[in-house]
Amino acid sequence: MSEMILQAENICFSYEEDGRRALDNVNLSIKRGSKVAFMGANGSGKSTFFLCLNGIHRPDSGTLYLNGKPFDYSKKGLLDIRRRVGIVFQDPDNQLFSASVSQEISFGILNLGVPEGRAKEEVDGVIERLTITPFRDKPTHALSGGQKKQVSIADILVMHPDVIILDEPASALDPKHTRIVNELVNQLSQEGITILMATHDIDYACAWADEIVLMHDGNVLKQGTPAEVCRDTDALEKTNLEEPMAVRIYRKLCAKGVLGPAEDMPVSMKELEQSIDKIGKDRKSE
Amino acid sequence: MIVIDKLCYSSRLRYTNAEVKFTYAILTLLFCVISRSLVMAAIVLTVNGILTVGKGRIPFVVYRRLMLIPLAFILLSTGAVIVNVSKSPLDAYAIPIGSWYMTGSRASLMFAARLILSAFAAVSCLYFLSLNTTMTDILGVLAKIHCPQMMVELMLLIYRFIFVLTQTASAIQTSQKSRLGYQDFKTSVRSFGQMAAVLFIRALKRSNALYDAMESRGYDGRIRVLQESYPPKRKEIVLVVLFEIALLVGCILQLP
Amino acid sequence: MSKREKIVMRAVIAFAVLFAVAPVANAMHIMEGYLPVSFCVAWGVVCLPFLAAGFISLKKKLQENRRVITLVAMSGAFVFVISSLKIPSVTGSCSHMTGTGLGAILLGPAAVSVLGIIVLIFQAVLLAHGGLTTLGANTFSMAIAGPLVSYGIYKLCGKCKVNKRISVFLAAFLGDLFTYCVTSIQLALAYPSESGGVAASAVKFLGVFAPTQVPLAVIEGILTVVIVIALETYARPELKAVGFLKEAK
Repeated sequence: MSEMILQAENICFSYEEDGRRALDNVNLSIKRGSKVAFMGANGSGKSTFFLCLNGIHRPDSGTLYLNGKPFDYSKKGLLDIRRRVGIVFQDPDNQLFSASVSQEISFGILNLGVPEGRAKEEVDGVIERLTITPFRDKPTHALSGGQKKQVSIADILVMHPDVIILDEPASALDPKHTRIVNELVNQLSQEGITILMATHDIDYACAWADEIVLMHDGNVLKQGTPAEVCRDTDALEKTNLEEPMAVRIYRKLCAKGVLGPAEDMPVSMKELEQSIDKIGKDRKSE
Repeated sequence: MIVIDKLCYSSRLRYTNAEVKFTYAILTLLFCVISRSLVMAAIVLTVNGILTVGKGRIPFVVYRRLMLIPLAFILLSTGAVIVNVSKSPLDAYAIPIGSWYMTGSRASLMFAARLILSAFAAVSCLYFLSLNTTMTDILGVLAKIHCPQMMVELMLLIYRFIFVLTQTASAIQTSQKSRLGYQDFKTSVRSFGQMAAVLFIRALKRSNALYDAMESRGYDGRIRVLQESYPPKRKEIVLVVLFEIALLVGCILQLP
Repeated sequence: MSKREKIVMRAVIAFAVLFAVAPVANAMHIMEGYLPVSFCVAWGVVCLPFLAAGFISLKKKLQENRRVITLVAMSGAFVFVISSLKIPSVTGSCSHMTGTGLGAILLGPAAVSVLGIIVLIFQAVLLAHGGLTTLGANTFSMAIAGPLVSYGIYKLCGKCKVNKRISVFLAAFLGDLFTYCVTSIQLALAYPSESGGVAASAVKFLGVFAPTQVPLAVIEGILTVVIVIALETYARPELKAVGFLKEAK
C-alpha cells in the first residue's frame, strides 16, 4: 500500500455557471493516517477540492490518485471512491434528507450493497458509538444543531471510510458539541483513519494537525507542518490568517528574554507550556 | 410548527404496528362514509376519542381544537344542502320571500344530520392515523402496498424538506417583521412575495447541495433505507378484525 | 310565520353572520368523509390519466438527469410551505394560498399534478385540510383542473404579448376561481338540490363559498405576481433550472 492515500496532480476545475477557475493547478499529497487542516478564505477552493476528492466534481484537467491508482470514474469506481472517502458537509441541513435518524444513517451502507441484517447491526453500532441513542427516535427536524451534526457524522462513519473530510465541523456548534466532535475526531485518527478538516481556527489547527494546507484563489499556497506554515508570515498574511496565540505569546516572551529563540518554535499552547516548563529546568542545570 | 406532526412522535400508540393502524383507520373511515349511520358515527367517534386521547395520550384540549378545524366547511356546505329556494314550499320549513320560498324538507334535515356526524367520525379516523403514526411509518406502509417507488421517494424527501423550508421561511419573516415588513396590507403583500421568492431560491440551492450529499454516499437513483417496523400484537389484530366485522354488519343492516 | 319558521329564520341569519365573519378562509379542500364513496372513487378514476401522464413525464426527466429528484422534491415542499403560511388579508382573517397557480407557472402542469397530490396527502395528514377519501376530488380540482387553466392562460397571454404582470395575475386568479367552481360542481353533483337538481345546488355552493373564495383568488393573484416578478428579477438561473420541467417531450 502506498504511503500516500490521496494525491492531486495539476488539478484544474471551473464551475459551469460563472466560468471562474475554482481550482487552479492544485498539487497535493495526503499521507495515510495523517491529520490535515485545510485553511483559507471562503471561496479559496477548499470545498470544491473536497468535492473532487470523492468524485462529485470531475476535474477539467489533472489527475487524482487514490491509494496510488488514478480515480476510476466508472459506476463501480465511483462507488469505491465514495466508500473510502466520506465528506461531512458543513451544514447538516444540506446533508440530512430523511426525517428518521436511523433511515438517514442506513442510506450510505445500504447503497454499498450490504445486506439489510448486517446493515441494521452497523447502524445500531454507530448510533451507540456516537451516543445518538437518546434522540434516535426523534424526527430530524426536532434535533438541535449539535445533534444533527452527530447524525451527519454517523452517516459517513457507518460506511467505514479510509478518509473522512470534515468541512468546518465546529461552525455553529455549542462548546459541548464542539468538544464531542473534537474527541471523536481524535478517536478516529487513532484508529488510522485519515482526517481532512477545513477550519478557520488557526490555534486548533496548529495544535491538532500533522499538516496544514493553505489555500488561496484555488491554489495551494503552502503545505507543511504547523511550525513550517507559521514561520511563513507572508503566506499567513495572504490568506488573512493571524499567527496562533501561542506564537504571539512566544515572540513576546523571547523579546523579554524569558525564552531563548529555539529552532522548534512552539505553535500550540501545549508546546508553549512545555517550553516554559523547560525554563526552570535549564536554570536548575546552570 | 405543525402540531399534528409534533404530537405523533410522542403518542403512546406510536410503536404499534403501522399496518394495523392504517387498516383500522381506512376501513373504519370507509364504513362510516358508506353507511352514513348516526349510530355507527357516534360509536366510531367515541372509540377514536378513547384510542387517541386515552390510549395515545394526546391532550384532550388539542384534540378538541383539531376536531373543530373542519367546522367552518361543514357548516357552510351543509347549510347550502339544506337551504333551497323554490316556488313550492317543502315540508320542514318555508319562509316566503316575495313569490319564492326559502325552504327545506324534513328528509334533507335528517340527511344533513347524518352527513355532519358521519363526516366528523371520518375526520376522527383520519386523526387517529395522523396523531398516532409518524409520517415515516405511513410511508413505509405505502411502500409495502406497492405505491409507485418514485412517489414514495418523493414523499420521503418532501416530508423532510418541508421542515427545512418552514424554518427558513420563519426566519425570513421574523427578520421582515422586525423591520416593519407587515405593518399594513400593501407592505405585507410585498414582504410575503419577496419572502416566497427568496425561499424558492434558497430551496433550489439547497436541493443542489443535498443531491451532492446523497451522491457522496453512493446514491444511484434508488433511495434505500431501513424500514423500522414493530411486529403486530395478536390482541390488536383480533380487536380490529372484530370491530370492522361489526361495522360491516351495521352497514348491511342499514343502521339509522 | 309559525314558531318553527321563526327558529329556522334565526338559524339562517346565524349562517349569514357566519358567512360574513368567516374566520378561516381556506382554499377549498373538501373535508374528509364529506363525499359519498361512489364519488370518491369516480373522481379518483378521473384523475388517473392526468396523474399517469404527469408521472411518466417526471420519470423521463429523472432518467435524463438524476439530480432533478431533489429539485422536484424541494419544489413540492415549497408549494406545501407556501400553502401553509398565513397570507396578508384585508379583513384580518386567516387565509392561505393554494400555491397551485404559482406551481403551474413555475413547474408546468405535469409536475404540479404529481406534486399536487403529494401536497394534498400531506395537507390531509399534517394539517387536516381535505382528506384521504376526498383525495381524488381535491386532486382533480386543485392539482389538475386549476393548474391546467392557470398554465393555459399564462401561455395564452404570453403568445398574445400581454403584460407579464397581468398575465400572471389572470393565470393565478382565474385558476383559483376555476378550482372553486369545480369544487362547487363536485359538491353539487354529490348533493343535488331537491328543487332544481344539480344546477340549483351548484349555484348554492358557488354562492356560499364566494365571499371567501373570490377575495382569496384576488389576493393569491396579486401575491403570485409579486413572487414571479421577484424571481424573474433575481433568480433567472434558478428559474431556468426548474423551467426545463415544463418542456414537453
